[in-house]
Amino acid sequence: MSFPLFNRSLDQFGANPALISDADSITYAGLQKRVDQRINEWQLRVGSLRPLVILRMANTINSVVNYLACLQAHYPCIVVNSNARDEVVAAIVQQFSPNVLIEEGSFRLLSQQQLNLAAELGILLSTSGSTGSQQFVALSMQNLIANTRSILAYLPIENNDVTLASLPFSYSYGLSVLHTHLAMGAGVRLTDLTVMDKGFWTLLKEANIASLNGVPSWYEMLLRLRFERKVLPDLRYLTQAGGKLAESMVVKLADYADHHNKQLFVMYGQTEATARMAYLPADKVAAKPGSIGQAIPNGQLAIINEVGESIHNAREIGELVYQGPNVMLGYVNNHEGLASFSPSHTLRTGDIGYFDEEGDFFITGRLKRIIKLFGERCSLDEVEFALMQSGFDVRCVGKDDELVICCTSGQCDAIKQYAIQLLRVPPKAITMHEVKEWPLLTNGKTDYTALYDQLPVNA
Amino acid sequence: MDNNAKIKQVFCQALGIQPEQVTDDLTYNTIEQWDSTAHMILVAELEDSFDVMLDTDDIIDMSTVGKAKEILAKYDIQF
Repeated sequence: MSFPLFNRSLDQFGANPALISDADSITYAGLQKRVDQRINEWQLRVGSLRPLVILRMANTINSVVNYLACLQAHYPCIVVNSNARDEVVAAIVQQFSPNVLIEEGSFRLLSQQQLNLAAELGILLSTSGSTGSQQFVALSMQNLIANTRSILAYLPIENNDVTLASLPFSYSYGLSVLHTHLAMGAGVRLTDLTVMDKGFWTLLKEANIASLNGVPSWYEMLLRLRFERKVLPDLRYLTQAGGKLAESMVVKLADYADHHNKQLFVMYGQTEATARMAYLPADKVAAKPGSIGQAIPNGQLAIINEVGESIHNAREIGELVYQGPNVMLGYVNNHEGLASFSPSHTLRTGDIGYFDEEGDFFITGRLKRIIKLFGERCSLDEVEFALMQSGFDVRCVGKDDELVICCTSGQCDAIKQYAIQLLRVPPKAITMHEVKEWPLLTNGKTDYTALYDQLPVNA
Repeated sequence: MDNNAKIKQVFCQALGIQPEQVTDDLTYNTIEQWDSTAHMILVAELEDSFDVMLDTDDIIDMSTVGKAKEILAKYDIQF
């Protein structure tokens, strides 16, 4: 059977290792066989139904088999991280009424009712890993194929490469690493080890890892752990996305790459564009460490002003707009929204920036109040709303990867405990700040800029 | 300041904890203040205060206060 994502069967890569875990590994032929088997098992349960699946996904062989089986069987699936709380999963089930809940080896039939699902619907990804439900991005198989092809046109992935899957597959960047490697017949090394485990560093040395992919906080950890001193002859290139890595760190990584004959790709994207929208060619990173480069092949990036007109002058600031075949079908909040889509192929990114005289783009800020907590997009408004719903009078502010919850009530500790549970982040990720009263704008709304400015410097 | 007082001060500052909490047995990941992010801050401050440059294994092995002293001893810091 031909595999829809790559227009051919996984079988064609035969005995190449596809997925390698600490305990196990599977070849492409073996993977295709397991995917086919799994679809057969499922079809016995759902018959001719085209089910909406909620898939709890871990970085395991079993989860990847489930995911690929959904794609091949043309079952739309809502991809959720396996460590999402049960309440979060229950809320998504409420929102979308999926037919089936799949996790590792388990298959739970929730409903037999055929939902009205658009033919082109492929997968649904969350835009905010932290607060769970709310808004999902609907992507088509065409989106996945188009983005995979664009990425393969610039990343030097080779047939006998093995990459390390250090990003969760429930996250668009992690998923793009999986897609691109499977499309090339390359290997994906799965692991639960973190950079704080000795085993991680042994793995880097001994598992023939050709590439690493990570978000800013991950590279910061790598550098603090003296990554630049490691001799890793098999490693050929690094990719970084998922937010802005401090320029000083980009320079350090670029130096490392330069001295050790490796390449560093700084990339830019959003789940709304499947994953990738732009990348900086490795040979430009030393000269322009703050740049996201230019649009990926088959895509276009532009800057527009407040009234939506294209800006043609270099260094003039406006909003980044992307156009390409990888732009999502649309946002959805419930199953009624899955019936039909009218995609525009144009994405207003909400990022503010400019391009230079050579056409390389730079990001300088964001239009919306969104930060990154441990690589996951986190809307300050959503966190604030969730806490207010629970009876806490709070305002959330923050920048880059810093979340500050402000309160007036003197309930700092209780709110912090609650927020840690809600967002599933370590205590360090949240700073509490107590204020006497909320600074207000003339229209009576909270003045978030003033609130942020009154924080202690190292809050 | 002797090295014992110095290391105590570094732990207090880096992890935001009280001096009486800093015993040789205090272990990484057993209190919320000593997680992986705080560990990196701790390592940077230990390096600054004792003027050493630790390597990857040192940083990963530094799982208790006692272990930190042992590791620093390798760099001729006496406790």
